[in-house]
Amino acid sequence: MNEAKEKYKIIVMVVLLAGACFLTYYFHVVAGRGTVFTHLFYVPIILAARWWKIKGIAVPLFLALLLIFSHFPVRADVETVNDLIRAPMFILVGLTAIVLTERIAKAEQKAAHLNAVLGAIQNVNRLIARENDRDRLFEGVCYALIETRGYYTAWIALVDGSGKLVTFAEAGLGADFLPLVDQMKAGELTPCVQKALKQPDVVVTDDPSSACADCPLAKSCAGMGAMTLRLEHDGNIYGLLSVSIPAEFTANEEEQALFKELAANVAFAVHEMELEEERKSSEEKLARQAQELSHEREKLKVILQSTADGILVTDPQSRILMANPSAEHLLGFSFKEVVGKKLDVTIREKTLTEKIYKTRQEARIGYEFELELKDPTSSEPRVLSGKTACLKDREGKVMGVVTALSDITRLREVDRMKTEFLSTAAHQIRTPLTSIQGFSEILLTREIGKEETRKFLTYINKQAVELAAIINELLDISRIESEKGFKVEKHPCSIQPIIEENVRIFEETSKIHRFHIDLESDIPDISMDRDKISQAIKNLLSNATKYSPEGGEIRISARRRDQKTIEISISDQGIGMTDQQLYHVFEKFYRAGASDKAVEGTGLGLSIVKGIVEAHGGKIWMESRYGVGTTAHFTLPVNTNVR
Amino acid sequence: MKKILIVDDQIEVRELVEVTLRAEDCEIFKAESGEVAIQIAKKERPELIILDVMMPGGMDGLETCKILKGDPETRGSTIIMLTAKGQEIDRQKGFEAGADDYFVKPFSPLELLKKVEEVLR
Repeated sequence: MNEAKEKYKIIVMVVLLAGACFLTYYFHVVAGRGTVFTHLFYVPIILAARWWKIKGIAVPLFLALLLIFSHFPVRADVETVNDLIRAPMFILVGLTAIVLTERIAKAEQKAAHLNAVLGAIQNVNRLIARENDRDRLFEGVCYALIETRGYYTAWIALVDGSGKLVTFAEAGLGADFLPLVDQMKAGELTPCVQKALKQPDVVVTDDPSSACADCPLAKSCAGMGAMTLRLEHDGNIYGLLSVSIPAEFTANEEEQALFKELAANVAFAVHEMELEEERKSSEEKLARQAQELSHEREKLKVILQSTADGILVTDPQSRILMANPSAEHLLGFSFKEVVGKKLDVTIREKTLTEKIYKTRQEARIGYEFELELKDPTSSEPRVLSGKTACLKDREGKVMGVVTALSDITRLREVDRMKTEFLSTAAHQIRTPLTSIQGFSEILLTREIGKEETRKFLTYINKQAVELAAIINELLDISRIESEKGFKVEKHPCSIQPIIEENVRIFEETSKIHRFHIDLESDIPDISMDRDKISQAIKNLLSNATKYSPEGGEIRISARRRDQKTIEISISDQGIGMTDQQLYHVFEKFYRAGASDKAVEGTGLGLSIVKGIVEAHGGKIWMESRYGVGTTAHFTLPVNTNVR
Repeated sequence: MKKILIVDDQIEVRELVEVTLRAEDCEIFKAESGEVAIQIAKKERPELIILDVMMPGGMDGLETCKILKGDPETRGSTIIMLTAKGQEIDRQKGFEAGADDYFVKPFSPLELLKKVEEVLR
């Protein structure tokens, strides 16, 4: 394209020159009208200057020579002076045109460059406003700076907290930039960088290839000028910005001013970004702390909610601040209804409120106390153990009182039962011991006949056996109590003879009862510990007789409940039990009606039976009607392996 | 001849007490329950009643004691409680019911004998 243009220019120039020569010759020589048409020569002269600049001087030189040499042979006499003056005029005009053309071109170039820089700055500013990511921002800035051809290359280096250069971005340098990065990371700073970091003005490097031969960029930036400036805002130095531009612009004040503005904008962006990061991290920290707090609070709440002990918190005015579900349950109110209300309005129990008041007044650690509350669901009062503690803030000011309540009704009941058990066990042991000690003393201290001696020895022996049985029972129950549970040795055997043997024994000792055995015919053998099952049946029969002192029928039956289980039931027509007695019947040491009427027993029999049945994988339950009678049922699994 | 009534639900204990008192010159009556004891006491007016506390079914010893001590006919009898209930509270209950003395099972026949002799003298 350019070549074609150039050819065209040469053709135009030749035509113009030929035309000018012809016209000059015609009018000057043929028509004799003088050299007036030589003025037309200025056209190609100026054109040549525009087109070829200094090379275009050839045209005025040629025309000047043409004029001079054509003058002498043609008209040596006429207007010699004029012609001779006109020739250097051509050259002068040509030179002037060349100088002017050069100047205009330079001015245009500069304007275009500044424009490009301005465009770049605009792009940079837009980018700063838009981009939040630090790395992307700096790469974008570098790219924007070279995009408009304002600068050839651009790079940014940022310092960290300790003043080391750590973050870099570039555009237009590519791989050439890497060695410089390595150097800067290692702390080996090029002279321009060192200088720029130290002072606020633009550091100008005219041509890196000659000025700083050691710089890794020297080669790639050869022939260009460079400007380097620190990024500074509010006295903080964030790093460096460096660009390369045409060498002739480096000294230009406008260039430097624009570059300074650019650097200031970038520095401001860094500053803003740091502020934003700080704000973000502090916001995140706050949010995290808030979350942790709410998490902690939630955890505490869950702990309080699921604590078995009742927790009640009151403020210094003794208004209810908090009560967990256990406290609601124990004290019989709903927290939502009583929150903020005075203590004495809410809780009728005097012991509790007084202890809370006292704790607050005395600002002491607290009291431990017990109190009884009426239980609407039971005739027995509920026993609570309570502890109060004064809540104080850091200055020691009383913030309120926290009260912990736990239901110790069961504990009390167990305590009571244990005491009762001990006295019952003592009584149980004392009874056979009475005969043993008494008769042996008689035998030792008196002369007794042979027959009577034998009788007394029989008593002693019988009671010793009884004593051993009682002790075995106590041991059984302690075995059930222990972790291991009952040890059973199972062998397949029939239930029928076991039932019959036991009934026979009771028939002999208990004449007032009628015993009735009712067994289904197809009961299979069961894998069981014969002695233990026999003991269970004996205990149940013993209960049936003991609790039907008026006599009556005692029925023992066994039947197939389903393919896998058989059920054995023992019923009496005795005194029966109330629902409440029935509820406690399997508890150790529990003896129905033990407090009012003397019924023999340790209160362990049923617990032992339950232990035996459960050790066989069976279940036991009781039915009873007060004044009508009681039926005990238990199941045993049929061992399918046994035929 | 002095009359002594032995009340206990267990036959061995009744026999033991009887054998213990055999050396004494006295007439022995026996009852296996509180109800029977009251009947005999009213009829025989014994000088001494040896009374058990825990007797299954019906009246226990404390109740029997109260009735005996509350009735002008039987009030004159000395009552010795003879029981396996050996705690201080039981002893208290016994005296509250009107017992004159309290013996805890198992007991030494010799000691009981001494006590009986003391009472009868």
